[in-house]
Amino acid sequence: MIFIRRIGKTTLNALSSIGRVFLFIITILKNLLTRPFYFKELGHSLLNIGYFSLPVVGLTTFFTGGALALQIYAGGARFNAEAVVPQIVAIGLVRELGPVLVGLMIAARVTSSIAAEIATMKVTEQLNALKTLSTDPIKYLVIPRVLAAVIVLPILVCVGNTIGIFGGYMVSTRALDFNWISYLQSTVNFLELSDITSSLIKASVFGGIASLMGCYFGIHSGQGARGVGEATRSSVEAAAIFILVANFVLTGALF
Amino acid sequence: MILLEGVKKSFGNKQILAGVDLNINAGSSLVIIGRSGTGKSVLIKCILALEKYDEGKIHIKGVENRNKNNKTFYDQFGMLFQGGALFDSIPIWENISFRLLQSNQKISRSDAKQIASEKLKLVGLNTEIMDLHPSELSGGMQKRVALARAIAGDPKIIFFDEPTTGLDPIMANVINRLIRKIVVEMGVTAITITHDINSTRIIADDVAMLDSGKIQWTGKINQLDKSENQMVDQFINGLTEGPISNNY
Repeated sequence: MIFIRRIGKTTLNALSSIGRVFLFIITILKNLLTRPFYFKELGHSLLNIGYFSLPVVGLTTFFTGGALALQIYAGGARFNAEAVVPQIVAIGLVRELGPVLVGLMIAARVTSSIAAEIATMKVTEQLNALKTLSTDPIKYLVIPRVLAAVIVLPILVCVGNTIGIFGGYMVSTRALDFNWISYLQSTVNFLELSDITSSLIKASVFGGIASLMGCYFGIHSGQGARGVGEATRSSVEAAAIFILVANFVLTGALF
Repeated sequence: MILLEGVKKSFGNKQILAGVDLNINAGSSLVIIGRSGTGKSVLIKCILALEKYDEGKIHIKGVENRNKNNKTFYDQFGMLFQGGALFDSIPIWENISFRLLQSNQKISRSDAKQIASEKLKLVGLNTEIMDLHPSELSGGMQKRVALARAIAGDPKIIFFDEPTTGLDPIMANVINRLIRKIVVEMGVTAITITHDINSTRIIADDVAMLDSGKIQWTGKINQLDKSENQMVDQFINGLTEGPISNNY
């Protein structure tokens, strides 16, 4: 009986959380197109989410591209298909690994920082201070961050895809004796426009999820240092899970 | 100017406000006293519509605050938060002029900085700190900056939440006198919550005592010592025996 009660309670809690997130999204959408717009905050967020994430995105995708080339070469050698390395590295990165890895890195780097920042602002009454200064926290804090992530993630993914392919190229031409001209030609000839558009669509959705989770858990955080810690942890967990679920759904839809 | 009728507020099963009735006159400085944890901060947050109350009515200038116009409601208020609540990411002068910079009044940044400078001088701070960030200031200085921010938009009603908590006695006295000066010079309606009797004596025109979720006594500051109310007597004299429960 206790077990069934626990299942019921967990299910109800999960449903109410989904409902609250849904209401939060509606609130954001309602405020998205109405004045005032905080362009300075948007600029800060673009810089923070985009420019300052470049090193981590570059390093992640470079080494993933290199490792992918080695794995595909080793696997391909089992049925004499080593030559497919450029094509599989390109499609694997552009359609799948690029957006997912960048999304997860952003969840780790940006979602956590947004959640911790907003939760600390809540704990120290800065959110209430914003309201008493006639400034809506949703408009001032949430919308610039969500917009910036949705705008900048496709750019980051483009950069990440390029660096990842470059990582595969470096390993293939230096360690696996591929000809550099034919490697590049194979990559360029193989990729289709739909591969790139699906990558960019995924990137935008993942950016939205990552920033939304950071803002949601920050604004709904509990009190004290524990509240900030829990908000940060929950935001990263939720962002990572939703990014992977969205990736599955989008891959199915864009297949 | 501000009228509270039967305001009730609970968090879960715990009732914090059990029917608060209070009338705050325009231009007066009311200090609400009471033990820590009696709901003084919650009461202020209910008046400011930062917390939703369960029952009762709060009228501000004749308009119930549940029906507030979000765009203009907060323009009439200034608020000094207990911890200052300064924004860490922006310099002192932008903190002070925040309302002016974000409003639709199209004020230039140089004008906003000039106003911030004037308000800083008013609270007795040197304008050299204008470009510093809040974390670079001491607690007392942060409190004064927060005070400057609270008065920067020339509000008609100012709330002070435990203005001297965490300050040494000298700095606390400085803040108390500043608040009194601002209230008198700007002619605003002020509502202060504190458990510090010394602050009360300096800031207040009127005093209300909150305990057990209700206003237990109201009167003029010069009636405080002869209130003939046992709760007030116990509180202002810090007595451990009396009608106020020691259970928190």
